[in-house]
Parts: sequence; C-alpha cells; structure tokens
Amino acid sequence: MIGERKALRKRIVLSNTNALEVYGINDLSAKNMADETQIGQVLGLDGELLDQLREVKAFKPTQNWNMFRKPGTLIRRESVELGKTVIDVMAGNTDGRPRSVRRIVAGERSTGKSLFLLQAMSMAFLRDWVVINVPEGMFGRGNDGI
Amino acid sequence: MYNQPKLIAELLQRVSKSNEKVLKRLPLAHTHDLAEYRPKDLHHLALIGAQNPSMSWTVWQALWKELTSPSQQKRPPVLVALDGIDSWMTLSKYRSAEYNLIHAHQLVPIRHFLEILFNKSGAGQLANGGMVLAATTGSNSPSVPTFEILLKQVEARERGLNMGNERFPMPKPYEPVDQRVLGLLQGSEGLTVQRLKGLEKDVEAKGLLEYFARSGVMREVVNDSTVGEKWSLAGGGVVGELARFGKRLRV
Repeated sequence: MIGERKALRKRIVLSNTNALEVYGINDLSAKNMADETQIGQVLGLDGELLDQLREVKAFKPTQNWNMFRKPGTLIRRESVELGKTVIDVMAGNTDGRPRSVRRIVAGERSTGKSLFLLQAMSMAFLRDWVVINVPEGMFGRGNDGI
Repeated sequence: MYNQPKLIAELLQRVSKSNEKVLKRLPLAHTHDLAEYRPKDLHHLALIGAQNPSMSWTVWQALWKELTSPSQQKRPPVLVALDGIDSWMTLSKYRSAEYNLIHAHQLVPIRHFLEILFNKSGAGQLANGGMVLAATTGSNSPSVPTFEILLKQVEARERGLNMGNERFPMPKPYEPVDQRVLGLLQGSEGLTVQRLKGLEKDVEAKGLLEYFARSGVMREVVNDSTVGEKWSLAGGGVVGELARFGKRLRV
C-alpha cells in the first residue's frame, strides 16, 4: 500500500500500557502554567489540548512519548517564564496596545527546544489563542515535506 | 519565488481543525478577493484554502490579515511556532528548471514566516498581540555557519553593540557568507535569542528522573548520588541525554 511505510515511520504513539500510571500529577492548565511551585514537576497533557497538539503536529516521532502511560511535560524555570510571558502578552502594553514577542530559541542538541515550543503551544491553546505551528522540515525538504 | 500551494493547504487544514472552536467565533473584518466564496467566519475561510490548494496562498494571506491586522473585531493573540529554522537558512532540496538548487528564501511560505520573525516591513507587528517563537535544530547547525553568525549578531545587538562597533560579531574575512541570511538582521529590533542549556540538578533533573522512576522506566533509586551521576553524564543535565540515561537498563 502506498505510504504505509512512511505512515509507520511517522506515527506518534503517546501511550504505553506497560508503563506504570503515575498518580498525583496534575495536568497543565491555564491556572498553573506560570506557577513557580511546579518547577521540577511533570504536568500531564490531556483532553482537548492533547487532540489539538496532535492535530498541529507538535509531537515528534523521535521523542520518547511511547515510554509512558500518559503524555506529560517537565516544567523547568524557562517554562514558568514562558507562562508569564504568555500572560504578559495578554495583558498588553501599559498604553493598552497588544504586545508582540519575537524570539529565537537556540541551544545545543537535545536541550529541549522543540519541547519548549510544545509547551508554548499548549499554553497558547489553553488561553484560547490561535496557534499556527510549522513543524520541522515542512517547507524546504522537497517531496512536499517530510 | 516559488509557491507551495499543497503544503499551505495542509497547513490551513491543521490550523482550521486545531483552532476550530476559536475560529468559528470570529467573523471576518476585511474584504478579500475569494472568487465566489463568502466565508461566514475564519474557520470557514481556512477550510476554503484547505480544500482548494489552487487558492490556498490567497486564503492564507487573507487569514493572516484577519488575525494580525487592526480591526473593529475583537481578536485573540496568535502564536506562530516555527521548528527547525536552520534548514531555512541555506539551500532547499528543491531544484529549479535549470536544475540548480533553490535557496530556501525563494520559497514563498519560508520567506513569509521569516518576514514575520524578523519583522520585515513591520510584518511581525501582531496588532492583536501574540508571539513568534522559532527553534533551531542544534544537531546540524555547523553546516550553516552564516546562521550562527546571525544569531550572535542578534545577541550582540541585545547587549547594545551595533554594526560599527569593533566587538560586533562579523564573519571571518575569507569565509563564504550567505548574504540573504545576514540581511535578515536589519530592521529586526525587538527580536531576542534565548539559549537553552541543561536542566538544573536538584529540582528539575531530579524531578524528571523521579517521574521516570514512578513510571517504571528507570529501575534505580533516585537520590542525590544517582541524580548527580546522571546529570554529569548528560553534559550538565542536557534533558535529551538525561532521558536516555533514565531509561538505560543497568546491567
């Protein structure tokens, strides 16, 4: 069947029933996204947000989602700062004009840049923003994307 | 310039589906030339482009204008997330009719998103607020040295250095340089660079490894000694490496 191997290569598995269920973790929400006490915690991605993230291709096959019972993301200092930035943007400038933030996230290999984008998308979805995601390699790779 | 109508149609499909609830609540505020179509809300507008690749670029421009231009309608902020922009700073994999490789900046969608990120002619001014976040790949950035210079220039500008200053990062004298990439710097004031590093050891790295242990993925006790060991092996808590150590079976 045409495209079968490609579909298999690109499939995103977000759950593994062999993994243990981790009790007591909260889900990422509009309320806790800028909460400093969450640093070092893993927050769950669930419900409608999960469907939106899947649809927008926020997950990459090279990430290790398929090792855990449910998808979750680690909150680090930068995550909380991101949450505060999202809230700041919504609050607007002091003169009442909306705020625009433009930023490049760089760093060595595997430092969590793509996941940082995923967290930004999650926070934006939770706050009812319009989210536009351009996944890696969509436009320049030939063969109409990956 | 080369258009990519099918890819834009796919993008519109994903945007319309993932933002369905929000977009359905937003009526149009401007008029656009959309042949015989009369979309009733922004969701409908996006769908028109998703289902008609020949019109997808026109629809995209209309949608972008609706979301980011000032208007009477109340609009939510927009997040534009761009992953792996390294590949946008060099030749693409596409070839022209003369069989030469096309530079990524000649592709209409890439050009469009770069203009937004670098605020060319104000394209990055989101009138209803929002964020443009672009991530680099990290793994093959040595192959685009001009891009690394550009990033250093943006960081230098943040610190107050400017082009004339002798400490401002410039390409080496005989190094081949991609002028298209360096040209992005001009007019992009307000753009910042955030460099992600390893996780902090005692709270962040420990928290991650505890989660691994509670999921049954890591079969070791999580204490200061094991966390410290894995944190160091991961080059100072680089999260991808740390995750790799967390799931390694200890023989």
